[in-house]
Amino acid sequence: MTARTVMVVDDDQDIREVLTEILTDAGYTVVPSVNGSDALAKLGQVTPSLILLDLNMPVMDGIAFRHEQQQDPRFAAIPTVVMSAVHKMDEQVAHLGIADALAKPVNLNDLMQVVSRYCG
Amino acid sequence: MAALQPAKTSSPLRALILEDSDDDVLLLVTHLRRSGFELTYRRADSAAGCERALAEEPWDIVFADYQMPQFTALDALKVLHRRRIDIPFIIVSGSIGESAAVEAMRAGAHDFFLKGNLTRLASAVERERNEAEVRRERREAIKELRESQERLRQAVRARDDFLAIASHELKTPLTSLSLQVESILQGPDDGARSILEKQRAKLQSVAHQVTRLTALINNFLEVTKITSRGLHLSPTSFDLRELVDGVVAGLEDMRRRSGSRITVIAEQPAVGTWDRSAMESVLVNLLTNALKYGDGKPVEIELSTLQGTDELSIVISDHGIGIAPKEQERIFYRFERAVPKEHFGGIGLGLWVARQIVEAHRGTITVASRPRRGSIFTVVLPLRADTRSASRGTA
Repeated sequence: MTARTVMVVDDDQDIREVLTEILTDAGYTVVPSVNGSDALAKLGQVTPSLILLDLNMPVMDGIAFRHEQQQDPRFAAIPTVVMSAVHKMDEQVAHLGIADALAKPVNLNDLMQVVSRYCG
Repeated sequence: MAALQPAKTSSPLRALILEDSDDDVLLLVTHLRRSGFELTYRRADSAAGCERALAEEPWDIVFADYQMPQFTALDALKVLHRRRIDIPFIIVSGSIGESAAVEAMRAGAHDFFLKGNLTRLASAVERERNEAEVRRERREAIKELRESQERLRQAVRARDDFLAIASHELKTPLTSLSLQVESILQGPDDGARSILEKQRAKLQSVAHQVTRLTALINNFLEVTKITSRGLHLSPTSFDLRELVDGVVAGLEDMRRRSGSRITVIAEQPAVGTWDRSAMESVLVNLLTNALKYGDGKPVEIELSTLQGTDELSIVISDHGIGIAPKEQERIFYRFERAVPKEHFGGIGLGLWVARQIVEAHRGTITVASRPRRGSIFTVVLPLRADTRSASRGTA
């Protein structure tokens, strides 16, 4: 049940919807989460092959989520790709140990390449 | 020189007199009133009394005996200094040696008089009062200048914060928009979901506008960063040829619309240490211009390592409308463009951003151009950006 499952963590509803639609059409199961703490709660129930993570979110942002995730041995190994609109994102995520980073607005081909790389 | 004359007309003067002898106070007060000052005064002869007087009332001037039983003029000067009170301080003493006088002047006294000879006192009071007023005005002017500088800095900071937040907020809906459009364009053409060619063309136009908006927002962010915090490079080692290929691929849609062909000429890998995302901005800006002003004619981008140096050159040539000689210098400034703005879109930030980035890498950017023949932009970069001194800001 875990293969080809992508968790999308983003506080923007439109982004969650468009990613869910596109990835579902491409045959993936999508678990949307509205912020870092929602994502942590859901990680207790599903183990996705990939987490697509926004950075700026209310309640728990992407950086705080990433720290929590890395400290929990159950979740630490799940490949995580940051997808954010912050400027000079590469510098901000340099210490997060993430698999990849996509700058918003993200290109569809780049998105699909990254997802297929980690989900097979 | 009227200010140096004794006040003939009545002139209000609030004086703090530090003096232990009643007779000497009377002598001084009488002399000042006769000289035309409308004098109000308070007397103190101890450090505590002096402190109290300074704390409770504003004073125009201090007259101090040099040596009192509990207190000296030098002690009083320290009190004024500590309280940051800058008013004329005149020593009036029964006897004062030359070395003591010099010491007092060094400590901040403005003049000194012997009690037996007060002839010049009134003019000294006027002079010192005027000079103190000049010092006060200058302090106020400096304070006002600092305050207005701070207000300006805050306004610039507010503008930059606004631009950064607005740009970030704009990118989120742009992401949904571009993904929706691209997914329709690239979706499975299975009959039921196919779109008409006419609709496809319209959607391609929408996708193109999304690309333009993205480039515009990125330039806003670059300008904001450069003007507010200076340009801070994060150099990494990479092959510029690969970056050029990526940028050219990203501009494919724009290239197709322009009708120009882009040829990349690079004989070998161009590996160096530069800020990758900054260099991407430079290439996007230069290539976008070449396509925009290239008149549909071929565009070449050539990378070459300069023989015998540790430098790389990037030459981007178009054969389009060109730039008149008198315009060639100012196109690198903000909001300047060589063409009437009605004819071409954009706001003239691209070349300014490119120049800031290239110069932060200790490189140069130059243009050679002839109207109706085209333009050649040449960027020369050291193979290794000197990060120690490469950070710079330009307001």
